Amino acid sequence: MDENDDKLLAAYDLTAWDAPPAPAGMVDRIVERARMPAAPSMKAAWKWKRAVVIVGSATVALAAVAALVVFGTERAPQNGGGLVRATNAQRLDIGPSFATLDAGTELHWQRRGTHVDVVQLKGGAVWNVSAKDTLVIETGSPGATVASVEATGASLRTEVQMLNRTDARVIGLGSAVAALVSITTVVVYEGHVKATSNGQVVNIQSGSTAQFPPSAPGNQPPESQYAVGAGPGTCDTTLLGKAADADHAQGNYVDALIELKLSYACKASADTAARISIEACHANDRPTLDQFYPLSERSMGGVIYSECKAAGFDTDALYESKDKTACDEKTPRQKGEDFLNNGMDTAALASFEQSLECKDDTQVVKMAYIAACRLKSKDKAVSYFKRLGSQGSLVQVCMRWGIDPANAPPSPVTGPNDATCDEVSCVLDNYKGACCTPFKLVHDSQNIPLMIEGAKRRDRELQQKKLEQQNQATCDEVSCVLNNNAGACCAKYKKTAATPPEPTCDAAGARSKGEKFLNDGQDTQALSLFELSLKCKPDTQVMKMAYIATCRLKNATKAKAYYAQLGAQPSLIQVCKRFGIDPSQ
Amino acid sequence: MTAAAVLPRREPLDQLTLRRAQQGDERAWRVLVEQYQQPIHALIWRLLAKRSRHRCEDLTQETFVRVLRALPTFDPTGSATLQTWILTIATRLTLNEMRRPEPFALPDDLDAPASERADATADRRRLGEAIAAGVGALPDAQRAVFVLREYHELEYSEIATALEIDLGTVKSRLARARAALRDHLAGALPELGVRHG
Repeated sequence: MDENDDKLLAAYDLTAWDAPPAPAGMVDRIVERARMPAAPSMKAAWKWKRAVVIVGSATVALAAVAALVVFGTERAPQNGGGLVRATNAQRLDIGPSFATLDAGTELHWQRRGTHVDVVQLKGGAVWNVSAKDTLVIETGSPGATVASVEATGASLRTEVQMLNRTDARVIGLGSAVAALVSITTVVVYEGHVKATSNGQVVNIQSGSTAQFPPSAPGNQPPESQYAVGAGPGTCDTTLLGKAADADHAQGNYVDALIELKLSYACKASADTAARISIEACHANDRPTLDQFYPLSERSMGGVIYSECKAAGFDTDALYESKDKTACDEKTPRQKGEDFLNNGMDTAALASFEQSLECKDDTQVVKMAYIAACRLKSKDKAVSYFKRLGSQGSLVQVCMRWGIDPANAPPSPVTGPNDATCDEVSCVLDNYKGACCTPFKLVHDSQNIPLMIEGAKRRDRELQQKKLEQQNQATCDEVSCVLNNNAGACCAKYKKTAATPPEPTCDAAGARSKGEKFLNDGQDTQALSLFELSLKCKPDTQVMKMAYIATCRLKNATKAKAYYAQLGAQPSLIQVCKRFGIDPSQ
Repeated sequence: MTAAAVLPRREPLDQLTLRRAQQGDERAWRVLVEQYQQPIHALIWRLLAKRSRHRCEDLTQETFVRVLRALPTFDPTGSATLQTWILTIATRLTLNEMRRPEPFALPDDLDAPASERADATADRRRLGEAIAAGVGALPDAQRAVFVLREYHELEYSEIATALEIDLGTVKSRLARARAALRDHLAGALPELGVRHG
């Protein structure tokens, strides 16, 4: 075996031997089969029979002992808890319930009997909550909860995402501020989950997603050292502004910066953004300056630049180094890949965009495209798709998320483009455009119940539309028979199905369609049609085909019935035997 | 040109969807089946060669049903990728099935899709038929190695694991399969008056 072997067939295009596409509708059939409990194999059944014969009463005794162990000694899992920082994706066992944590997730859990309290600080986790447990997950920081999620006998995912690049520094300074920069997403896979956010209780149904923006600072008591004069339950931008002025005058630039940020969170304005940028120069706070400087500068006509200069802040050197040497495209790319692998698509996209600001890289654009598709961010997906040269092979990536990047119509609302989509430009453009949604959520947190109600309404409308389309597409007599006459459009056929066959009964048509289904391997539909045909007109050939379909479906009762009706011919036994059924038994 | 060189590589299933599928989320199951049904169907179709097409769909369905049931035990951090794991299950199921006699004969419609394709040139169709005949004439064991390598880009070590054979056996079977197919094509194509390569 050497390299020449690999080239032995190099002269021939092996792709000329083309395989046909997979049959249509196979996914449904597979999922339907997988949903059914697995039948024990013949071999396993035989082994079981033998085991019963051999061990006999011993098995009964063992079962009795096992029952005693299970029912007689069952007790609540031990109390416990701990702080978990997942450096890699990991499983967390908390008694009968467990969680799968994304890399980077931080949480604290505490079990008291069947009640488990969790505080999820950041990251994502999939929870499988036992029916015996009550799990309460608080997202955000202690004392500054974004949402409280309560689940029993459910499967769900909770994700706490940060919204901007300054969050780590801000979190280090105060928990009240942390609540301003994180957003919680809850996806329920199974069961029902109750979530409380901002005083509102929401029931999240299975298959639904709910997103909870951070509370407005007015609903959280700001920490006194940062918000002088602002008491609990207030969001007084005037007082915060005055406190910032006082701190600035005394040279407490860091405190002034935080007070301005709190003020901005209460009420976003270009003026406050500009002040934040100026204060960032004094406080030497590079991340804040990165975020606020460019657009504030545009709107304030160069005042920030001169203020920073006057304060002795070397703005030129900072931006020169940022542009030429300090720009790190690798770290955000790496982070983005980790986020993408862990399903944290929003964070992944932000990281890729940060990397692309430093260096244009096709691979990173591709990953950003994938993240945008998963987020169903049409505008961004289309933008990246075009940037990648509108390659046809990339269309499918987005199509599975319902976006056709090759034929997407332009977005109906205009707003800041990707390059200028930061908080300030979104404020100035009245939050138009998809890229402003996170900022709008932060700003307009009063809309939570409306947003959820809106999502529910859209979901109901979609379900209704889907049902109507299905009804229209399948509302012929055969489909109605297959669907047990479900739906209003089938009412007219109900009588026909319930009464003996009428003269117009189409035995040949049903047989013909049944043969087609049988040839395509759609055995359930085939059997229904053969049975329909047999009701109209008894026919040995049709009965044979019904028998074959029954065997394939492993329906032993029906198979035996058809086998008997066909005269118990031994030649037919083999047809069913390959599917594990012996109709002669 | 080998098939592996021109077949599009599939994006691996993203981790989140895989996790959901492992937890029994039916929507994730659908995504998984949609993602892999075409390569698995093609693999089984090629392995079955001249056998009934009905068995191809039965086996594809059976493969995925087993995959979905065994999915919670699949370790994404293990040595096998999800695609390789599914290909392995499909290959073993198909080889087991091929050892059984056909219960009843149905018309051989395996090559119909290729001959029905209006856009295929006559030369390409003939080459496809010649390859189908050549691969179909290979012993089952050689055909399995050949198809997994040439059409599904599996590494030698992955093929060895999938078929539970030694690495050396993989290489020797592949070499024999390629030589046999080359001889078959060299003999068949001049008669058809087609030049390739």
